[in-house]
Parts: sequence; structure tokens; C-alpha cells
Amino acid sequence: MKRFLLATLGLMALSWADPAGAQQVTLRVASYGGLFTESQTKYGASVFSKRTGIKIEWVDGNPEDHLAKLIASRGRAAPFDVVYFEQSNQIKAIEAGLVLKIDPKIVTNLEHLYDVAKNSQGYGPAMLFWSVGIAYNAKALNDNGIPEPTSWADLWNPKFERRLALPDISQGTVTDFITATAKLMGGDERNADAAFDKIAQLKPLYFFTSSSDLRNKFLAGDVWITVWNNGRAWGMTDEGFPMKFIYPKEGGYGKLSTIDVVASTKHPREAQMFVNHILDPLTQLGQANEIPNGPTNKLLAPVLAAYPELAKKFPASPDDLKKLNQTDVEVINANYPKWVDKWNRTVKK
Amino acid sequence: MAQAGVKGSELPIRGPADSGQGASTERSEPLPIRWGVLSLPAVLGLLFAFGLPIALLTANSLFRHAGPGRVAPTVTLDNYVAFLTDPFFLRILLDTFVLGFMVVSICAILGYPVAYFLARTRSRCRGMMIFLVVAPLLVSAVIRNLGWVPLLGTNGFVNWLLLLLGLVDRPVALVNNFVGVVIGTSHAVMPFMILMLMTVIQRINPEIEEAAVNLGASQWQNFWQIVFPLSIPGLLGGYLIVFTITISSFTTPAMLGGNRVLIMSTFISQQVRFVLNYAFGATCAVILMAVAIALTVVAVRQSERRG
Repeated sequence: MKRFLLATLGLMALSWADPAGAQQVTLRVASYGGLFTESQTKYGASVFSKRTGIKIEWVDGNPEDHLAKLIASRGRAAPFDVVYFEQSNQIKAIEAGLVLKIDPKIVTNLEHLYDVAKNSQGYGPAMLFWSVGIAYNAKALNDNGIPEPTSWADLWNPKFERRLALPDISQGTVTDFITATAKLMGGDERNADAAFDKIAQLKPLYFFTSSSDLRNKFLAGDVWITVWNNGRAWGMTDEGFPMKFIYPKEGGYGKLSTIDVVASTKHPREAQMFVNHILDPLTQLGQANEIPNGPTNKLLAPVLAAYPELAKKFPASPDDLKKLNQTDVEVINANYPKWVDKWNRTVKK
Repeated sequence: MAQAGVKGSELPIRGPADSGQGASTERSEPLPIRWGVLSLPAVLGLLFAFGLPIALLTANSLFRHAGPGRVAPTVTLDNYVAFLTDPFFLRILLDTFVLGFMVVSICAILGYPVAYFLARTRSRCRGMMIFLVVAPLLVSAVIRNLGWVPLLGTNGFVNWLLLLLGLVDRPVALVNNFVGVVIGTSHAVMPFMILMLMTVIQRINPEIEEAAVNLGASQWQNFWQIVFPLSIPGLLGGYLIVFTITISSFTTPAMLGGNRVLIMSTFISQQVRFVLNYAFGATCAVILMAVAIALTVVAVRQSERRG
């Protein structure tokens, strides 16, 4: 028995000292889940792991949840090493000191990014350009004699009662929808009070928090129209679903997704290697082909110019982004708690 | 929840069949001290796993919100004042209790006949039937709710049936609203009510019912004057468990409420996860807990008076 104990202790000591444990790095990456994570595995993680031997584990969720987790884990071990954010989440994370600045010597692709994709303070860059507009099942609308929407105001068509899905107040895209509605009412993101009563007049089927769930509701025929991102909407069009994605005449909204390294990670070097890989032209092109989101690497500009059929599905350049509205993210962040309260009191009831 | 469960099973469930005396002699014997010592690990575990987090939560509620996920170290009751003086927040609390009482009522009404049957049946399949009653508890809440969506949806089975039977002329909203939450939660907690009632009804001596019928009582009188009064401890126990689980449930309201049902759990989640206002989220949690404890105490007192 004594010998057994000694042997066990010896083995434990060996395993602690074993440097092999340090070689096998596993990075946990907080992604958006569903088909997006699948495409990130295909073009991002699998190639990266083959090249470097570093394993990738996905932590799926909405960027808002990733931020909440990072904040909750302050002072403790990092829940993940790399995180995909939206601009508004990234700003909050930077303010709270939760993400690291990027080393251009490791992230060599940084120099190939469009200027608008680079973070002015040196934090994680934008990895995708995308947009918010109206997505609808064209067949369902035609079958029911409903004209296809051309304006944000068309969402208030009474025929969309319980066929419309709206983003929940917890989702990033809701701020674009609130801003668009505020503009219909003569305001903007600084002056959005009138938007809430207007939104409260809508009778949506539900308020979504998951793109995968919304996709299922489109497939089931429960939802005909929604305020969505270009990538998931075009993704369904590409699958053969009669989905159309449009920018209303008042304009769609341009958005940036960022990739950040978590401040409390134990593997900042490996994490930045992964960031670099995600910004690689090949990774970005694969991603854009699978779920159409705009690459931020300008080396791809000639490729996209040669494939307008692909490039029309997303903001493919800073010029494309400029054609869309962009909300003032700082203003949105400052107003957000107030907006949630207003939403609770007027829309959720 | 766990505590309510323990208390529920300690309710003085005594039918005449117990003759009352057996129970009281058991109670009068003092337990040897060493049994108390044996419970020490569990008590310490509970203190660590429940006491400490609740203390931290309460502490959070007493500070001022200072940026995402932060509180300023000044002790204040402002959060409580903000909650208790705003009719909108009080309405959320009220809606939570309305949900709790609706679910309890549905479980009691639908569960009672099942419990009575299971308590009285001599079928060889009784074990199998009890298993079927408990089965919903074996499935994770997420899967259970995902099962409800296609049944209750606009193009779902229930609406198809209602339209087919001509009971409605257009699909009814059965999910993504309060109705969906009531249906989903009732289904989830029904086993607790049935098992609780079944245990109590089993202890009611069937000879009493036979005597009542022999003496000319109708089935109706037999039920309302004999069985029902004797089963009230089971109803109270079931109410305690079902009510406390319902008002604290989150998954079902989040999945079947379409993000438009604002009850305490979904509101707390929103404050903590998205508004990142830990102080106010903690305040709501403490208030919900306090009211739940108060209602539990009332129910236990009630059943003690009857016992």
C-alpha cells in the first residue's frame, strides 16, 4: 500500500513537471455559434490546428453573453482566450480592461487590413464587415398578396401580425432597429424616445435572441419577415430558401465584428497567432463564401471585384460601408440601460 | 427550492389510518446527539454552497451600481427604494406570483384525478404509470421546451386541431407569450404535485370512504367531505414545491415566453447579463427570495395548524 502511494505521488509529481503539458495548448474561442461556428471550424480552426498543433475549443453564445461572462470572471481564470465581439461590446470590454492590445509582429495580417478595420487604440481589429437590413420570405409575401418591403415603415403592415420577428432588446442589432425607427419618427440614436411607442404598435410573433432559432422559424413558415444581418439571411438564400435581404430606402446599417484577445489569457502569444489566422485572406474568403460576411483584408479586393455575385451579399469595402448608415456606438452604449428600461415598459407588456 | 422540498415532506401528513399515536411516540423520543453530528457535513456544505452566495448577493444589493458589473462601496437602500416605489417593477413581481398561482391551480386541478387514481389503483402497471408521471423530470428543460414549440406554434399540432374542429377561425397564440410559459411550466412541475398528492391520498384509509358510501354519502359528498379535506396537507405540500419552483424558473419562461414575458427571473437575467447592473439584479433576487420565504412560512403554518 505504501509503495502504491509513493508511486502515485511520484507520478503526480512527474505530471506536474512534465513540459509536454505546456506544449499542447488548447485555445478557447468565444464565437457566435451555429452555422457561423461551423464555418469558422472549417476555414479557421482546422487549418490553424494542423499548422500549429494548437487545439481550438469553441464557446458559443451571443457577443453580449461573452461580455457578461468576461465581466463576471474578473479577477479569476479566463473563461476563454479569444472572443468575437461587436463594436459596442468591444468598447465596453476595452473600458473595463478585459482585452489586450494586439502585437503587429505576431498579427502580421494587421497591415493588410483596411484602415477602418483597425482599432485606433491598438486593440483587436475588425474581422468582418456586415450589415443590418430587412430579410423576408419573398414567396410567403407573394402568396399572401403582400407587397415586398422597401422602407423600414413597411414593417408596420398589419398583415405581418405574428409573422414578424424582431431582435430582443438584448441583441446588438436591436439598436440599429431602434435607431431606424427613431429616424422614421424624426429623431435618431440621440433622441429615440418616440421609437419605443412606435415599436410597441408592432405585433411580432416573438423577439429573437438566436439566429439559429429564427432560421428554424423561417423554415417552418412561422416567420415571414425580420430585421436581420446580411450573413444569415443570404446564407438561407444560398441554401435555396426564397429569402430576400434588402436595405430599405432609408438605408441599412453597417456593422463591424471584432476579434479580441482576453486580457487574463494564459496564452497571449498563441491567441494572437489565431487572430492572425482568422484575418488571413484564405480564412476570410472561405468564411465569406459560406456565410456571406465582408472580409476586412484588402488583399481580397481583386478577388471580390472578380466575383460581384459574392460581393453583393455584404459590405465588401469601406466604400460599401459608407453607403450604409452607421450608428454612433458610443452614444448607443451610453443610452443602452435607458433603452432597456423603455423597451421593458413599452414594448414588453 | 431544496429547502421547500424538505419542508414539504415534513408536513404532518397524517390520515386516520395512522391513528395519530404512532407518529407522536416517534417524535417524543429525542434523537441521539451523534445523529446531529452526522448531519454536520451537510450543514456546512449548505452554508458554503447556499449561505455564502446568498450573503454575497445580498451584499451586492446594498451598494450603488457603478458601471458594468461594478458596485461602488457606499452602502445604500436606494436599490430597494427604486424597486418598491415603482409600480412597473411591482407589476413584474405581481406577474411572477400570478404565474405561480396559475401553475399551482392547473397542477392541482389536472393532477388531482391522476394522483387519486394512482393512490387507489391495484393495477400491476402502477409502477409503470408512476414512471410515466415522473418522466418529464428525466428530460432536460431545454429539450422539453423544444418539444412544445412545434406543438404550440402558429402552424403547430394544437392549432391544426383547433382549426380542424372549427373551434377557432385563425391560429391562436399559444407560445411566445404568457400562455406558453404557463403551459410549459405546468407540464414541468406537474410530477411534484401528483406525487405529493398521491402520497397523502394513499394514507387515507379506503375504509373511511367505504363507510361514508355505506352510510349513504354520494360520490360527490364522499369526495368533498371525506377525501378532499384529508388530502389538504398534500395540496399544501404540492403548492409549496410547485410555487417555489415556478416563481424561480428561468429556462421555460425564457424559451416559451418569446422574450416578451417579464417576470422576476427573466428581468433579473436581463439586468445582470445585458444591462450589467449587478446591484439592481441582486436587489430583485433578494426581494423575490424574501417574498417566497414569507409565502412558504404561511403555508407551513397553515398545515401545522391543521396537523
